[in-house]
Amino acid sequence: MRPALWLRRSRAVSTLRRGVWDDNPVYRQILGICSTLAVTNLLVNTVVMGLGLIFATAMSCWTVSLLRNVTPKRVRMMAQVLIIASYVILVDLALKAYLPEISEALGPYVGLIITNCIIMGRCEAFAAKNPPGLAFLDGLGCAVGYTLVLLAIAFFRELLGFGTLFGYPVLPERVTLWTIMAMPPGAFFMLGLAIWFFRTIQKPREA
Amino acid sequence: MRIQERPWYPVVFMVVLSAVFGAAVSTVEVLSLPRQQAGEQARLRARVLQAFGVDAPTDPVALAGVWKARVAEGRDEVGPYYALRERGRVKGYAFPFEAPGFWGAIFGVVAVDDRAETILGISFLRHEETPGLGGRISEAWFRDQFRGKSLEVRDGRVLEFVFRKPRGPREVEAITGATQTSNRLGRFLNEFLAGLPQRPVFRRKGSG
Repeated sequence: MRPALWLRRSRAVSTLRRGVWDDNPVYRQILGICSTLAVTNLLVNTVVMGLGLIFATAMSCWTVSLLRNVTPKRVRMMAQVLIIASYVILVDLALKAYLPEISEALGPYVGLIITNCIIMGRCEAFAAKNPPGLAFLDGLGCAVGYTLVLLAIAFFRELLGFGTLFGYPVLPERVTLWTIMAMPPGAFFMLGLAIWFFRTIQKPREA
Repeated sequence: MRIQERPWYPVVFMVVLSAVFGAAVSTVEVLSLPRQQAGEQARLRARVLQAFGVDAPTDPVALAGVWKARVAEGRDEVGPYYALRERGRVKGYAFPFEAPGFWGAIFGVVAVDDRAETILGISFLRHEETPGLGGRISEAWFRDQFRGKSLEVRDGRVLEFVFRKPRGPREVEAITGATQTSNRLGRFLNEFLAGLPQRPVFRRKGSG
């Protein structure tokens, strides 16, 4: 009884950790890049996008896993897209009703969570073969990993591009702002640096 | 033969799955619709008041109160307008517009005084301009420049959009780094503002 519980728990922990750190979707798998580039110019947008993705990914993985034994193999991808789209639309509706300003700032990118490769990837690679609890944790871990990298990128983009953090001015007036950080090219540079940075500090683990 | 191996099973599975998730999403949509519409309406009202230079309360009930007490919605042959009342008379009119931007349409409201002589203010409802660049049109420093500008047309223009500190009374500082947003919005506003005094709502007033 005890070893089994311990084993299960450690599997849960390692599943979570794999998504957040070891196998992070952004800097290890290079997935979800579209939204990484699009929504990281302001921290507030990034936080909401991250929460939306966390909800959609964890719930989609859980549902796909729950239905894994009754889903016919031939139509499994159709079923996955249907499930993912439903959860994403729920996020979109909630934002429109309760956070209209942010919903507007994020524009089409909330709807585009549906096509985020991270969700489909986790559903197909993990949730379709594992029990619901673990699938939920796997989705949660990957989405949290994605969100943390995005927050790191958004921190520097907002700070350098706008001189603010979460909308509060933190840089003195005389500092020249880096306009490029507010624009899409700034996201490319920051993403490249982030991938280099995380892979470098991760190296000792691989050896 | 297991049920999952029957040829009709995938079809039935997808139909049932679609029905369940479709019903769930539709239910949430219908339930949240009043809230979405209320939010949209409150936004429009707040922006119209902002264009008039009236403080819009953030509380929805207070906002509805201010709106009911001071704003009348009307429509002339050209389109809808909003009239602001102050001490029993109309202080000005606000007109919604849809201007071309860099990435997409810019929706906004411009308010002018009751004789269509000066601009009371401008506000933006929706746009898709780059945040931090063209998106700065909705910041206060940009909007506030329009207040009190004359609607008089000179050299075919009402306003001059300049990429430096404004010097003349007709000049508005455009946004550096957002040349396209500034130019397109400027060109549209010049045409739109020049046409405002000819709106039927002002003509009726003059003849009556």
